[in-house]
Amino acid sequence: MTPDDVGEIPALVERTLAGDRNAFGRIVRQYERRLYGLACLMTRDHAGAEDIVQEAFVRAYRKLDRFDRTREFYPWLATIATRLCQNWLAARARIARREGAELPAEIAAAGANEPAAALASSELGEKLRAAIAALPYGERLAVWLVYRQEMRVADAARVLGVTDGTVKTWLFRARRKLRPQFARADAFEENGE
Amino acid sequence: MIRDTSDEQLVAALRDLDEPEIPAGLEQRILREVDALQTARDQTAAAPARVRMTQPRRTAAAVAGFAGLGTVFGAYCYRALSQIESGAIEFAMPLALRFLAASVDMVLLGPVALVLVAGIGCYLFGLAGEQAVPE
Repeated sequence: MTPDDVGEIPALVERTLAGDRNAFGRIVRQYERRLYGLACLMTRDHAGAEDIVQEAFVRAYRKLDRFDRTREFYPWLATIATRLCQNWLAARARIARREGAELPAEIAAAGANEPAAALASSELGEKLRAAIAALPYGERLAVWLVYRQEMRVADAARVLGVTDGTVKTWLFRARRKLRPQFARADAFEENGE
Repeated sequence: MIRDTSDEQLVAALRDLDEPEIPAGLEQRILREVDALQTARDQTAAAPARVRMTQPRRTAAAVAGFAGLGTVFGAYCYRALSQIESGAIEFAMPLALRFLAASVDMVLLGPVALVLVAGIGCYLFGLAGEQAVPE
């Protein structure tokens, strides 16, 4: 369990179910940034990610009584958000197909214009983030969930609806792709260029 | 999972990446939605008469049904007795046969209409009950 989930979250869930509105506010504050990061990575669209995060929290609140309190909260919440992102992406693709148009550039193409990329605090971070954004969907999400958000492989697999083995394969492939870029960016930063 | 030093450095760098800042007002929007949801729940809980429509609905349907059947049965009795009085049916016939004869003899439209009205009444009561039950 992550430190966030030890003690405090189950208690907050209990209090929310008992009708304490402030308790859910604390849950929102604890996870909104992480969830928004995940939604941005999946949708590559600020407005879409915002709507998805809002809807994910509302759904979580509605179904809170079904949450298994013996498990961690964030993977459960991330699963809701991931399903919403998948629906959002499918809807966008359907609209694009129906109208015979290409997906908007910011969604179809990965790169430095991806919303999350603009938030990197350093040169290395920026390059690394752009490299992650360029990864295929599964690899991108596996890297973000397991390495950045420190989720267990089993939990990430549940969130993404795949097996543990698939997540491990995605992580392996992602590392293989990111390593050379990381090495170049690291050297670049060390040289202070 | 992590094979060599460069992988470890890579993973450490990934862990250090910043999460994007959440847009201003998002938290308030979420909490407003949740608040509205909870208020709606509270209101539903505070209105047991509207929520617990199942039992009154059944009672109303039963009353309407019995009223309808009673009216039909009354009409049969009235018709049978009037036919017996007029001598159309032999007084010596068994009671059940007299009712049967009266039923065949009388115009069926009246009782059928009454049954229909009773049925529609039950349906409408049921419908009103269904609409009042929240999801």
